[in-house]
Amino acid sequence: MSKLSRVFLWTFISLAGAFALGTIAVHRGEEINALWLVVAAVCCYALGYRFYSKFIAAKVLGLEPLRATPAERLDNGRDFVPSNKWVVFGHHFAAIAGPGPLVGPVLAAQFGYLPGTLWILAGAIFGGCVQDFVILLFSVRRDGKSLTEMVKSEIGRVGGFVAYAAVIAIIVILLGVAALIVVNALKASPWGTFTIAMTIPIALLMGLYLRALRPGKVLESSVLGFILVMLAVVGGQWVSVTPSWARLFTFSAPALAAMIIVYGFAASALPVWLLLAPRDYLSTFVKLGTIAVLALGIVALRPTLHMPPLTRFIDGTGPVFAGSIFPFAFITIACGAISGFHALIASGTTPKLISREPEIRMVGYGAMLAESMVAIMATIAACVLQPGVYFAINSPAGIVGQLPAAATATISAWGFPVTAAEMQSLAQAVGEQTLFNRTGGAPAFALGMAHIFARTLGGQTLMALWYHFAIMFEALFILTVLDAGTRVGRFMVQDALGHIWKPLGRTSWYPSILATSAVIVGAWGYFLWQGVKDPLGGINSLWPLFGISNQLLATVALCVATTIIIKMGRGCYAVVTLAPLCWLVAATFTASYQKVLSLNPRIGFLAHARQLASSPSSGATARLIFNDRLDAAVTAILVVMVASILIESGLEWSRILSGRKPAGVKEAPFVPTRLLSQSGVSQ
Amino acid sequence: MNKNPHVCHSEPSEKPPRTAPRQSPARGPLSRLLQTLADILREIFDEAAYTRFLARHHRPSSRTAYAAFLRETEIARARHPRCC
Repeated sequence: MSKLSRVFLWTFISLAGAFALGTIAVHRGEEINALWLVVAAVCCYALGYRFYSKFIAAKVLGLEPLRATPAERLDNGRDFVPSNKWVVFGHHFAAIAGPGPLVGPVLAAQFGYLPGTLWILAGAIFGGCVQDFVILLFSVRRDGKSLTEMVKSEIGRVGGFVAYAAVIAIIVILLGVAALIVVNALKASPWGTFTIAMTIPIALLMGLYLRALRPGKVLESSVLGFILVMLAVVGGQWVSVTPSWARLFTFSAPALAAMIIVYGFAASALPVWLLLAPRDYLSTFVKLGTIAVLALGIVALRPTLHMPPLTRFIDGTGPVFAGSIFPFAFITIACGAISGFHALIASGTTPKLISREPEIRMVGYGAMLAESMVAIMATIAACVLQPGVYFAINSPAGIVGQLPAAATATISAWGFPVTAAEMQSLAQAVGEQTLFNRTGGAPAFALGMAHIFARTLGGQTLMALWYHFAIMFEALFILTVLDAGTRVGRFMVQDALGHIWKPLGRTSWYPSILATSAVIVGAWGYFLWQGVKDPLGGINSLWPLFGISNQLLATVALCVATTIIIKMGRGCYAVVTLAPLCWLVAATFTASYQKVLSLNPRIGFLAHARQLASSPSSGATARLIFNDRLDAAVTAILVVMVASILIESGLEWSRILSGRKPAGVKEAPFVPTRLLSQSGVSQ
Repeated sequence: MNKNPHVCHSEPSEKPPRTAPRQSPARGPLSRLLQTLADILREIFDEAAYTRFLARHHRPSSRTAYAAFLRETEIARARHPRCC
């Protein structure tokens, strides 16, 4: 393509992006088509990738095409394997894309579609993609070191210890919240519960099939598993309309929570091949397929957004979660904009697969753009619902009232008309007893997705199947996150305890496996239990806690990245990581301050505890007060830990920039690549 | 310098195959795209890792080989976080 054609093409993309973005930003009154969001996102991503990531690659990081990566130098065919860039891209995307980019944007839609969309676009292009890109490169340059190891070697030992503790805390909170989303999606839903229950024997069957019948044929067994899961989705309908079976699979939230806690313990203690690995394969298969189908569906069907760009809840009085746009929109949407958890993956398996440094741009920056697109699709799925329906699903009974008439009256009074009859017919259409108070984001996303597909594929008659397919899809990979996260947490606890008493660190010693599994499951199980017993639905307090902890981890990752950039002698470009770092510190620390100390009982944990203490007390009140104080303490401890890393980093930057300490990076020595003859040098 | 104590120091001829898509100049773009997609899926679903395991140990696929592969990858797999 000639230079003139390129200039013309990028000018066109810029203008199209600006026009689409302008349309969604200034449009008021009439409903708009979802395609505007898609066009704005695609153009912004294209510009971000083409110009900003290229600038970072060339000027800030100085990617070296001639430098051998650890995958090449340490190639052992097992952990370190030089792989094709598209293969690594797919592998990395499958690992970073979880339920977060689907749930966060759905919850943030209470502000309208505009705040979430703008944050997803800006957060990803200037924050999340940059974080994933630089952490991946720095891990590659350090033989695949993990984030906590990099904090220890580049910032200091205290920082390393704090990062380690913060990662465990974040995993625990994440798992508690993830489990709560599943519970809220499945409570009093025999269809959904049956489908998800069936995924356990299906995964076990896949494990046995792989081990005994067709060794190594994972794709084949995943297709088989997928067919069985689809049969379970269809069979769930029969279960839901057969009273004797429906009774067997209808559970209250506490009963489901207890089952998930037992399941988490079993999944952590059982052999990996029997449950974790096949479930992971199945979940990945369904995830990739569903995301692709949803993307095609949105583009082909071009649904209309019924949610206004901004709602009255930008003032912080929202029913889904309390708090104003700043800072709460920025901690509610983490995955999809910027997520600290990605730094763990970018410094985990992925750096050991990269063949050549220039490919890091596509894998690190590009895969995060793809995840951001998933978040835009989730925003669309939530906003195609009528706002009244959206709020009826996502508002807890403690805010809108227990009875349908009370809930619809409250929501209609907010200016979002909805009737009890409308909600009842919608519940019947998707095969549920009720859709009221299904907080957590998953049911609203599922309904939005069903709404999009029911416009053409099978019409209203298949709406129930689409809804339960979407519920199965979300619950399946949330439970996979639960399996994998519990095990990762268990290994981290075992590593730490191994320093105190060696046998506890042995990952094959069953007493240690059982004890550490119980510690991790007990910890997230407590948060889950707290959520299901919370009259405000749990999501109101736990999702912000998760958002804060995830963004604090991103703060740690950006601290390391800025430190290394300064040590590389490129301090003048440190703004690429320093700017998102400052934004995250402002948003996360403000949110933490408000969650702990706000005088509004709907926002501040301690104010809520004081309000409860002044009301007539009962056994439940005492527990709720304790939970509020626990949440406040956890938030405060996380903030203090991350603040200590920030201070330690700041001191290190000051020492280097003032010349009191020589700048020097702790990279693996340069070794020229031998892969040039195979792949050529190209950016 | 090789810092990883677990690295296999094998001769170049014994190295496992690199997971690059098999390329052929005669192939059309659609065929190459499908091949790349298949390679991505094989890597995500660990089939490529199993093939490398078999090549590294010079053994055919069997139940015992797959069980050995699962044992070898169990710890690494169990330590992989899945993002939220």
